[in-house]
Amino acid sequence: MNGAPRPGGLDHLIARILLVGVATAVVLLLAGLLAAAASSATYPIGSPDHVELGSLPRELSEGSGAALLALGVLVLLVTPLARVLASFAVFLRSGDRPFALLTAFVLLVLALSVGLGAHP
Amino acid sequence: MIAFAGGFGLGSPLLDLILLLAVSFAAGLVGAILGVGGGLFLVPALILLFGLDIHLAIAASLVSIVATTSGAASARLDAGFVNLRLGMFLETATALGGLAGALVSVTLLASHGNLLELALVPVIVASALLMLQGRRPERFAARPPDPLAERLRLSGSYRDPITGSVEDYRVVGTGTGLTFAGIAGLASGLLGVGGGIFKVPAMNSFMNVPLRIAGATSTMMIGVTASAGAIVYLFSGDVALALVAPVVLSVVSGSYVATHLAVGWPTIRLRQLMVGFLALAAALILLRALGVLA
Repeated sequence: MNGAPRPGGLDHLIARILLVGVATAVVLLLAGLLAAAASSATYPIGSPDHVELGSLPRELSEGSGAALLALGVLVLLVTPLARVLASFAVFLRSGDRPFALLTAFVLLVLALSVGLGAHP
Repeated sequence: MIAFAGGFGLGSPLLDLILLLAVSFAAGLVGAILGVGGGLFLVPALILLFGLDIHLAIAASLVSIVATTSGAASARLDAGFVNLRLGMFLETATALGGLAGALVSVTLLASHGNLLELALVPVIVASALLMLQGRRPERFAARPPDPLAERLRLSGSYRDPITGSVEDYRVVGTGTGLTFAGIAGLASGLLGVGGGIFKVPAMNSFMNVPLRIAGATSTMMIGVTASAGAIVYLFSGDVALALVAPVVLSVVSGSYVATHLAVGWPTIRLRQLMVGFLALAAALILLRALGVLA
């Protein structure tokens, strides 16, 4: 229920998750752009990119600008997922079965996005 | 260094980047001032000004929508304007629609960008018409109670920021609401718009949700919807990182400036200007889709 938000309630938990997620992504994207601008490699703006999750950690350790950008985009895209996951946990713990099911369904849709997106 | 691939935009990589930053900033700024989200302006601007493939423009728009709506939803959650239960009920349909729309776009329409452009035209025209109406009055119809809404406890209350009184509202029309949410989600995944401009009036007219609550709740739902779509584009390779990063940062900055600078924005003038832009964009995109315009 909305109305006056209770301190420590789900509203505030979700608000924190969203804010931290977006702020982290913005910092990563900014760092990635600076690293890309400073490097000698060329990043063509109009060409598609395939983000390889497997090689991301190695590229990040090499300080690759593109890898920082990819990580920033990933953090941004999992931020809504994180807030659905947190809601699911809260509904499950409070015994609200209908809403645990509804949020589980949304998690399933997001999982399908990953699954079907990777292998359409 | 960052450079545009191919010769489009202004010809010089640096000028192209500056134009891209300026256009994205303006989309975020105007979107936040008018409360319509930046995607509606961003997708047409990216394809018309930079000649980008529409899939790249949609993906960039969806990622920036996740950023702006998550930030905005965070503030509105703290203010108590988001009906979490209603949002989580309706986003089952918007997320599914977003996934379906994006899958169609990257599979069936992967090499038919002109069909996507064609589909974008009526969405732009409908949005422009809704914007032209301006601030619509609240509409509450006398409707029978909705058993599902009662069972899921979707109704709520909020404190009116002007009068200070606590207003209760009873949610009805869950079936109609889910249908509209699904269509808005489909449009989002397929075309890279948020879909709030359609969802908010529907939540008000058919579900008896006050506009302020409908707007805030829609903003929260759009994050999940756009993310479901954007993830599909990410894996299909349509998230061009060197495009998305400057676009997201500029859109977020524009939206931040609009929300945090207490300036008396000329809303009515601006709305008229953007309706004009959308009308022109719709015409140009139609010509582009039909192959008349390169």
